[in-house]
Order: sequence, then structure tokens, then C-alpha cells
Amino acid sequence: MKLISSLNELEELDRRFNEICANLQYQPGSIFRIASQYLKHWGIDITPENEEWIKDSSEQSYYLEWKRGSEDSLKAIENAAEAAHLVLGNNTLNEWVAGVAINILIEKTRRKGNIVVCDIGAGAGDTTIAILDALAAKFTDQGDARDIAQKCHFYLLEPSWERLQIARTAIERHPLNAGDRIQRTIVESYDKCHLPMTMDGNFDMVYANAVFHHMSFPDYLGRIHGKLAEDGVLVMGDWHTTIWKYPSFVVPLLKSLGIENERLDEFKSRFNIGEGDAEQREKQLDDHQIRANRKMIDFEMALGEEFRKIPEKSRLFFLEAHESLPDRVKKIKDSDFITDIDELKKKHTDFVQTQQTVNRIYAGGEFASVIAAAKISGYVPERKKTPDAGIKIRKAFGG
Amino acid sequence: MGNDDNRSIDMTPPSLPPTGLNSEFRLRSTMEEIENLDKEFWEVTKGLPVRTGSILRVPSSSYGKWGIEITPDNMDALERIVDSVRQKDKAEREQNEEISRMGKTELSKTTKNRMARMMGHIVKEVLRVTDDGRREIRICDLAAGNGLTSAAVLNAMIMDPETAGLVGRTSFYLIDYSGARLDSARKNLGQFKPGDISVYPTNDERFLSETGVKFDVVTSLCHFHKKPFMGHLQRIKEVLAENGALISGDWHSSLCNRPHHIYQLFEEMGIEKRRLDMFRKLFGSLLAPESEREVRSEEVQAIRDHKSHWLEVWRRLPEQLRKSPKEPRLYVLGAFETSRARAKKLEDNGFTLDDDKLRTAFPGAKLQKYPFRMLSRSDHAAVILCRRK
Repeated sequence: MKLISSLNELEELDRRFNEICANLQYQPGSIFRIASQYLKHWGIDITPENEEWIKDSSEQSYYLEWKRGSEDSLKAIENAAEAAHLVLGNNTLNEWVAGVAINILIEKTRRKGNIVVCDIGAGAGDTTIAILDALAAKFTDQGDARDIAQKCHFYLLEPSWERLQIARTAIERHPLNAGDRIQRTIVESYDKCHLPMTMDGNFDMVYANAVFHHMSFPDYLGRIHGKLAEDGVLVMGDWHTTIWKYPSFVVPLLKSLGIENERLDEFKSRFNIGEGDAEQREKQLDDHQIRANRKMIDFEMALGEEFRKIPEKSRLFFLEAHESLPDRVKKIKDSDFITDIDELKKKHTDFVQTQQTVNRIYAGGEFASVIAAAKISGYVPERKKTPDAGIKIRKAFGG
Repeated sequence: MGNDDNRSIDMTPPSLPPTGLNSEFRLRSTMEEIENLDKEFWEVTKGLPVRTGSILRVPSSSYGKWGIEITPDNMDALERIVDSVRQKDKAEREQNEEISRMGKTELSKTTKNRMARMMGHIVKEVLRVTDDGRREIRICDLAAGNGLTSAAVLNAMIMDPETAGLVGRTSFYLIDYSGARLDSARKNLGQFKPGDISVYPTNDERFLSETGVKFDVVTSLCHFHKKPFMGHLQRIKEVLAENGALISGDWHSSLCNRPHHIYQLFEEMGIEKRRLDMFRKLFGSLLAPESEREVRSEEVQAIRDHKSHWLEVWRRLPEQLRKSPKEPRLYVLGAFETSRARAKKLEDNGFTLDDDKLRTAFPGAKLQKYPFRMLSRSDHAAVILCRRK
């Protein structure tokens, strides 16, 4: 497929793609919502000249989607998750993020005393509450659990004030908050807007659940890296699929959402999808990835059905920055974090109790996974030891 | 007990408006009298989307405070009515899934998840210290719904390297009246690849009476408050293996123990005066303030939390639904009781929550003190671990 890069061409591609999907009950949103490393498969060449424009287009589309969010859309998502048998998924991911995070928090508070931890995309505080629950469960003596919880200053970052109020109540009512002694700061903002205003090295840990598949470019990892302390740790839970990796993978979804034949033909022609293309591409995936993609398609189809029942203004978009687990791990490594458990066990005192840094939750597959990564003081990645590579990395993160 | 302080306080309720009846309330004991009382009571909240429901939903130990006397003659008939009420609930919920959603608040959803999570941890700990490395482990999940509790159990097991290897030897028996939910549960849990998942779309009493299986663990989340009578505890005891454990998470409060709190709740909801008049007329002196000197501070908070829950549910109902309800309806009354009362019932039915005995039975398990309270300074949500005496 011929790659395009000029802003006019990109704008035209996005416009036409959305026109193709115009009659669907569930709209794709901007094509630039897809994970940046997959855009080339959609005929898009990211160049230094267009990179900022593509990022802006992606972020604007995600922002627009967030503005559309309502009780109706939340209800539709819950119903679709129930129909696709994923309704317990976010809860499960939260429990795993918490399970990974508390072993590190226990070591950190033992070593450093008071620490600051940041929940990015905190929502209604589910991940932070899961951490408090995991601490309560870990200790027979609740005094020990309270002691650790009260040494952590929880910093919740979330664009929805309403969700933050729910989080605030949940923390206030948690039994480890005896005497109202859990320190917390809640901030109604996005990580992109707010993190730059915090001090470098401010956070001892950053965690997030099901947030980063809304971020097409890995810039967020650079931002987090800068704001983490020299021994800072990042724990993230997320859904990993490759359904948006190739346009041919999207065809079954478009069909199930009721696309007309002519429009589907145009989609195939525009993205150069030939007969048997999807099957050929699927050969690159393992069985788990194929199953994860099908599960995600089931969810999207169910969501499409649910969106029929609610006002158009509350309908979200279907394209997302989902990516494979290896791709995510690579991005994390490329952002100067260490994910190798053996290396961390040797060099990072907070990982003594940690079993794995890459945790696949559902029997063998990567669909729901939790990753822990860390900075190590004085660590220089291999590729940074040559000056040219260093320049490239800094450029990628706007340094 | 639990994770909060136990200070006893005087919880004398504020005065109510005059009842208009000074005479003592006569207890009803014949089935005709009881059914008439319940019918009249039904009229009080008839047509509202949030209703009291039958008086017989409250714990049977509180029937006296609602004007009903349990006698050897009416006992079976009362249990039958309770069963028919539950069948009706089931039918209504199956017809309209929206009912369940209407009755939830953000705090109740989160807290229910948290109870499941704590139960998952306890099950994992019990299995960790009792597993012999070979045998099949059997877990019975009562009122399993979409598998929330069992998923939390599996999560906890897989996360702990000491129990991750047990998952393939663990069989889950899921019991729920809703076949659709069980189907969903089976698919939700299947992703973790446990040893086996069997589903039983039936009522739990029937399952417990008929199953010949002995279980290592029985779990029950937000379910026992639907049981005014406690016969099921005996049945659970019978299906538990020698060193088996019962782990329950539930909503606790004494909101439904007598008419007074319920009257106040509906008054705070702002229902019409004529309905409140009917309520007062029906219960007369039973509505009079009563001192409850031995009530603990966290139990008082539990009543407040329970009331706040219903007030929020009421507030969130669309205005249109509050004025002219169609099908959706929620019932306030239930067999809610304090976790202390629940613990006593468990003890009376052959279970023990004794700390030392639990530690002896499950040596080395990281266990908390039970009932374990999930909300600060409140008894409203608690998890209990107990085993056969």
C-alpha cells in the first residue's frame, strides 16, 4: 500500500474513512486513534513534519469521545461487557494491578517511609481501592496494613470530577482510613495537562488500569518516566489485542455493524485488502491473540447493539490504541524503563517480593495483562551509549 | 470484633408523630390475620417504584416487632409464604433486568466487589494451608450470579504462587436461580481454566438438600439477607467437608428489625402523607420510640448507611418513574441483621467464628478477625469466615 504523509492527504483519508462508516450505529472516530506503530498498515507514514498533527488529531478524537461519555454510554458498555463475558474484566485487572503494586509498596515504605503514588485515569478510584483492599488482605494485623496505607500519599488524576467524588467517598470509607489518615490529592485533569506541572521525580509509583489503550503515541511513558523518582515504579493493567493492527482485521466488525456492500468494497479497496488477506495476517498471531481479537470483536459488536438504544450524542468510537503485549513492553523499554524481572531483582530493592513483571491473567493469553516496570538510578540503556541513538530517543519524547 | 471500635452507645430514636392509637398492638398469629396485616401493609407503598415488600421478608427473629407471632402452627405456612415471595422476586427480576441496576449505587457496587475480593483472599488462604497436593478441591458458590465471587477466588489463587497450581484441581459448583447468569458465569470463569465449572440453575436450598457432594468451601455473597429463616445454615453445615469453611459477605444493619426505621426512611423519601398515615395506623404503638442501649456505634452507622443507600436510589430514579411507576420495583425489606446477630445465628447453627479455633483449623493462614468490616466505622458490609464446630 502506498504510504501517505502530507497533511492534506491524511485529512482526506480520515474524512473518507469516516464517510465510509457514516451509516453505522457505532462510529470509528479519527483513524489516528490507532496505536501509532500500526498506522503504517493503514497507509499512514509518520514523519517529523506530520507527527504533531497526527498526535493532536488522535488526542482531540479521544477528548471528543470523553465528552460524549454519559450514564447512557457507561450503561451500554456494562451491558456489552456482560454480553461478551468481559464484565468482570476490569475488576480482575484492578486486583492484579493491586497485587503487583502492594509488594512493591511494602518494600518502598519500609525503605523510604512516606511515599507518593499516582493513579492515572483514576476514574471512581477502583484501582486505588483495590490496592487498599490488597493491603488489608495481606496482613493479619490491620494495624500493619493501615501503617503502610497511611505512609502512601495517593494522588488521583482523572478528568471527570463526578468520578473523582465517588473515588473520594470510597477512600474515605475504607477501613484502612481509620482516623481519616490516608493522604490523598485528587486532581481533575489529564496526565498530559497535569503531569508537566508536577515536580520531576515527584512520584514513587505510578499505576493505571485500562487507560493507556487510549493513547496512540508512547509520549505518556516519557512523561511518567520524568515524574517518577530515580527508583520509581510503573504498574499498568490493560487490554491487549491487535484488532486494529491491520485494516483487514476490521472487516468482520464493519460487517457486523451493518456496513453496505459498496462501502465495504471501498474500504477494502482504499486499504488494499485482498481475498484471504486477514487469514494471511492472522498467521502472524498466536492462538491466544486470535482469540483475544475475536473476544474484542464480540464486545464491539455487542456495544454496537447497545448504542442503537441510546442517543447518538452518547455513542463512543470504536477505534482504539490497542496493541499487543510485546509491542507495549517494547514501548516501555524504549522509554528507559526496565521490565526484566531478573535484572530488577538484582538491581532494584523494591522487587524482592515480585514474581513476574509481565503477568498474563487469563490462562496463557495476553488479552488482560499487568506489567511492572521501573527506573534504576544511574541506569543507561545499551542503545543510549551511542550518541546518535540518544538523540533519536530524546527527539521521540520531545526532549 | 472486626476492624472498628466497639463502643456501645444509646440509640434512643427521636420521637415520632402521634400514632393516633394508644392501645398496645396485638400480635397476629393466625395465618388469616398475618395475611391481612401484610395486605394492608402492601397498600402503604403500592404503586411506588421503591416499596416495602412483604413484612415476612424481615428476619424471622424480628417478626414480633412487626406484630407477628411465630407459633408451631404457623411456622411452615410462614416459610412457604417467604418462599413464594422469593419466587415472585425472581420472576420480576427475570422479566426486567433493569430492577437490579436500579437498586445499586456507586458505593454499593464498589463495596460488593470489595466483599467478593476479600472473600477470594480468604478462600485462597484456607486452600493454601489445607491442600494436600493431590485431591480435587470443591467450591460451592451460592447465588453465584455472573461469577463475581468465584472470579475473585480464582484471581487470588492465581496471583499467589503457592496456590496457582491448585486451580487446575479446583471444581466450582455455581448455584443461582438464573440460568442466563450462570451461563455468563461459566464463560467469565472459563478464561481462568479451573478444573471444572458446574452450574445449577435452581434454588440453593434444593441444591444443598440434594447434592451428595462435600465441599471444602461454601461462599455466599449478598445472599443471606434474603433468608428470614435460617434453615439453610443447617444444610450448608451438612455439605461442608470435615475442615470445610463457610465464607459469607453480606449487607448488615438492623434497619428492618422494626417498623420505626422503615417509617422514618419513607418519611425521608418524601412519600405522600396519606401513605405515612396508613403506616402509622397499621402499626400503632409498635412505631413508638424504643431504647436500644446495647447498640454499637458501627451498627448505628450501618443503619445510616443503609438508609442513605435507599435515599440515593430513590433520588436517582427518574422523576417520571417516581410519580408513575411502570414495572420496575424495588423492595426495601429484607432479612438484614447486624453482623453480630448473624455471627450468633451461625454459632447457634453449629458454626464457629472463634479466632483461636479458626487459626487452629487453618494454621498459618493470613486471616483477619471476623466479621471483617468493609466500610470504615460501619457494620453495613462485612465478611465472615466460619467453620463447623
